[in-house]
Amino acid sequence: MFKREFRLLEQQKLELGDQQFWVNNPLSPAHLEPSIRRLGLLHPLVVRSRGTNFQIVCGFQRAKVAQHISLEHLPCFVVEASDDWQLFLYSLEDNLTIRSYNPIEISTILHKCGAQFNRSDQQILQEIAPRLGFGQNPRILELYSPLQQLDPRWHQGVADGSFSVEVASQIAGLDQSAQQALFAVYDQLRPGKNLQHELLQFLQDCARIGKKTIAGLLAEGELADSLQDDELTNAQRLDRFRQSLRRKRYPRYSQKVEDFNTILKQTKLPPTIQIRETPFFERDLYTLQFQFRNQGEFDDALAVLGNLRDNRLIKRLEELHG
Amino acid sequence: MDSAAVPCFVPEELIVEKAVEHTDLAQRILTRFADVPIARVEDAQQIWLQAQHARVRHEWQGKVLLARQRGPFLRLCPGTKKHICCLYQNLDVAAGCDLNCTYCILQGYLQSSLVTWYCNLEDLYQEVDRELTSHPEHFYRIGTGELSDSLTFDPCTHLAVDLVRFFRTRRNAILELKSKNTHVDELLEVDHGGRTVVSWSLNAAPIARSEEAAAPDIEARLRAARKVQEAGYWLGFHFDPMIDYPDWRQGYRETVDRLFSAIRPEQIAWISLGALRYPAAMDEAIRKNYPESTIVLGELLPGIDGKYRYLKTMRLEMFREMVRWIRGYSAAPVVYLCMESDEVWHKAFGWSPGSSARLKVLLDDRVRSAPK
Repeated sequence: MFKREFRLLEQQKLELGDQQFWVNNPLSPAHLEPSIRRLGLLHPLVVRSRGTNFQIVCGFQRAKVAQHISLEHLPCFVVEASDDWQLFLYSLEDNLTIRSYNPIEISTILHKCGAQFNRSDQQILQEIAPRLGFGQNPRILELYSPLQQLDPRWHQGVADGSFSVEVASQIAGLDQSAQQALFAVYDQLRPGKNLQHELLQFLQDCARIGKKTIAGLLAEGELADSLQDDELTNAQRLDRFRQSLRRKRYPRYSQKVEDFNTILKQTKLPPTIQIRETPFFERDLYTLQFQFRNQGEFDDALAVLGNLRDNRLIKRLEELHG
Repeated sequence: MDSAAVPCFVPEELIVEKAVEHTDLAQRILTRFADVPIARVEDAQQIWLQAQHARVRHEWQGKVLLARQRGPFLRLCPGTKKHICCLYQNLDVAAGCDLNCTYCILQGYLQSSLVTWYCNLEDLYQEVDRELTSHPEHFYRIGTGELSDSLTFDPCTHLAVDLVRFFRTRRNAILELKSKNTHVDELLEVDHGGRTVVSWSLNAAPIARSEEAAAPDIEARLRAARKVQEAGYWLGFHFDPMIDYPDWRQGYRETVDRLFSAIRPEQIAWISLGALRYPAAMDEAIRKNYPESTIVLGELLPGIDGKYRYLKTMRLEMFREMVRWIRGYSAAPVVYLCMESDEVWHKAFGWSPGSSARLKVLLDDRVRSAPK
């Protein structure tokens, strides 16, 4: 434990620009302002003396609000410590007593451990990962470290939970134009997290198959059209985008689905009679289902089914299986 | 890669479990690689655990663990549910491979490139002997190529020759050495008694170059097969996995042509066909381990056993063409499908064995006696 002294410090003496121990994201402490205005600072900051000024160890957001509302004096614990790493750990623990870290903050912590405090991956896994709730699982490094490469718009979306960490982590490995193009799509369509993963995988695959960039792929044909169609609701736009992408990714399977639907459409079955294929046409088996409420409807359905024998429906369905 | 350019595997480090250090196989290996660094461990389990947590698959590249096989050596191939399988028995003498083919199913089982050679061979021979003698009415097709390549480590272990000798007099079993490698010279001198099939995995040449880059090329494999043929062995060939790419017809046709210009069909016991397939989790492993590979970009969709396969009509097209080309040369070898449904058999071949048991009989009967 560090030796510490409680003091009331002038707000101007706090070095807000020094972010050695800062890991917060986003730095928008607006939610603290009403409380601080009403009650003042309930929890003292932790600072370290630096000449006549003070370096903030814990309490960046509170200091930011204090500056904003022109609070003149702030309650602080001034610690005497020369070991930066131990102070960094102290600041991590301080935050953890009141909240958990969001993914971007975790990424920042991991980054600072390596870049600023020269901790090896092994040391990070032993000393830091368990504190963040990851045991010593190396996955934390693979997943969270790349998030540093994303721009602030992605950071915001990951931090507030709109974007999947796994997907953002993959996107962080892509070039800037892909990151920007994907942000535009995800920000516009707002797919759920599972769908974010599917869309990314399909876009990457289609780009590789067509030997194009992701940005190039998104700027052309059906995909671009579906994003720009103002007649559609957002949900419809997302659905159209997804269907277009699936057709691009699985052209032969999509063609088969289309052929199947065309055959059924031409047969003009009433909505009470349905024919279904097996998933992905893996088996040469169809399921026929019809609904009826009374003898009349039952007889009608049988009559329709009887007619099907004459219009080559079954033969055409058989042919779909090669 | 041409056979002349394929160096024999040399371990970079040997990790020896104390329990097997004094076995014949371990001593043979330790003597052969006296200048390779050696670490000794009480329990191989700790190494397997460490290797399972490898962050990068290639982290353990070049490391070989000499260990005791804990479970049975002999296991019925798990096959896949709702499909016709050949009821093969796997003999697990090793786990891991140095050829690093992009599609290798081992990526799904083993998280790292650590290779394990099981050295308690006395247990192996006792176990197999007990199994074969206690079920004399049952015929066993037994292969070492499931969790490893049967020949790729042979210059280090010389195990293939031992196994060939062991099976030489067995009337109710046949050994299959399944490989992509060309280390066959020792096999040529052994009296095999017609009780061993030496088989090669073949592919279209462009696929072999891109997805089996560390393995000898197709020509080299066929040259090795020809030597083995002249030594009187049964031969087998496995076109598995067949991979869809724009010129697949030309690529596979050329390999079939090369095969039959190099090998006498009468001595080919069987030719298997299988299209690329893998469990869902393998997709991620391939993308991570081989980011340049394009095989994951195929139209692979979940099948009734949950594995990803090409659309059925695509597989049918591939299998029909292959059978047509093969039968254009010879009716002799048994041509069979690996892990396909009765329906696909019927549509591709015009007939089906109907069950795994009947397929087994078909394959067993082909090799009950030595090749003519």
